[in-house]
Amino acid sequence: MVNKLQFGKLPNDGDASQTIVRKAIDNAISALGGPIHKTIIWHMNNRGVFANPKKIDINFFYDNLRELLGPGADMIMEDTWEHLQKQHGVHFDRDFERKHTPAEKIRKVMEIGEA
Amino acid sequence: MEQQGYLEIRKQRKYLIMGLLVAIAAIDATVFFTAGSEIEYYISDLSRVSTIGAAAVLSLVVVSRQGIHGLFGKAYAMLAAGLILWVAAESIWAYHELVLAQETPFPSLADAFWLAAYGPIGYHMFSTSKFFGRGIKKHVILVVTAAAIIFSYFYLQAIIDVSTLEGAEAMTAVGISVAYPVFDAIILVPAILMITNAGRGQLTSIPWIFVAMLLLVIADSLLGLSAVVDFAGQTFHITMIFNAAYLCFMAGLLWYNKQFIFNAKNAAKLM
Repeated sequence: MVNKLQFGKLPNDGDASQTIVRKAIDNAISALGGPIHKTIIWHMNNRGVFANPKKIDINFFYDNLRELLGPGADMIMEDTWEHLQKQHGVHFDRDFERKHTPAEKIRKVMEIGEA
Repeated sequence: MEQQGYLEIRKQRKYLIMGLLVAIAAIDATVFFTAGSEIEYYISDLSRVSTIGAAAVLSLVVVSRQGIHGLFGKAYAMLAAGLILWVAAESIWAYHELVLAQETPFPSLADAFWLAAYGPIGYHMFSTSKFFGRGIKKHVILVVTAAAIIFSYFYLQAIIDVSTLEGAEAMTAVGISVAYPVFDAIILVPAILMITNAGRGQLTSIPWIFVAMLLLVIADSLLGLSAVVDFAGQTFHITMIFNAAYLCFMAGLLWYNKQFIFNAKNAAKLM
């Protein structure tokens, strides 16, 4: 599956892919509105999700987001994935895209970046 | 730290629910116990104007604090616009009844404001559905949509069958009575879907605005039926449901204002 991933403008580098994913998450949450962005980030920081600024555990982030926002967490993950696709040209093959959730796809991108 | 934060959110939610129930009980008990008395119209009209007015003021507080940017910024600005239109509608209705002494002024200018509010309120419902409605199965959407269409069909039949209005204004009155359930049915779909999808998320487990809209649709449906039989019989129970709906809007706005819009004071409590 790995060879079917197209990175587009995303650098094949662990730190850079972490930064880009973090920025995509930030953009997705910002799209809800500035004050809500601040609230969500505050809750995530309070739970230690962004404790390491250079490394995001996407599963931990998603679990905490779901706990806080319920179904709204999925919208944020979808928007994050969409941002990665549009801004950085990240694409998997159609079969992988269809079978996996945005959280799984983002995790895959990060795993490949770290490899 | 996280556990304490969660417990604090739960405590605040419990207080809000209790406050809401007490407010509904107090206001609706006043409406109930004054029904049939000389002051019935005063209590009914003023209670509705007060509850929707308070919700509209809160919505303006939300808009001033969060601005009009982003999904929620726009959605809450539209909600505020809708609530203000409803304040105007309730005030016009109250003015006709209490000042001009026109009993149940239907149809009137108030209906234009009520109907106009469906646009911004609909925008709020459908745009926030993108957030609250993730994960709803397609077959559930189909079933709820079909149920709303069937409800509208039978409701419209009932309105036409029981209509006792006569004269030049009868067609307008029936037309307005028909417009309400059509708009209500459109709003009903996201309201039911979001309520069935609720219960998850520390901040999102109660979709207050959708609960309020469901109550409003119930009140509207009863009012529509009542209107076409020329308001024969008691209508205080409809006022009670309207009050409960408006108070639910208030609860939702209070919750949103406190939990969603960043507030350093509340954040300190959650730590």
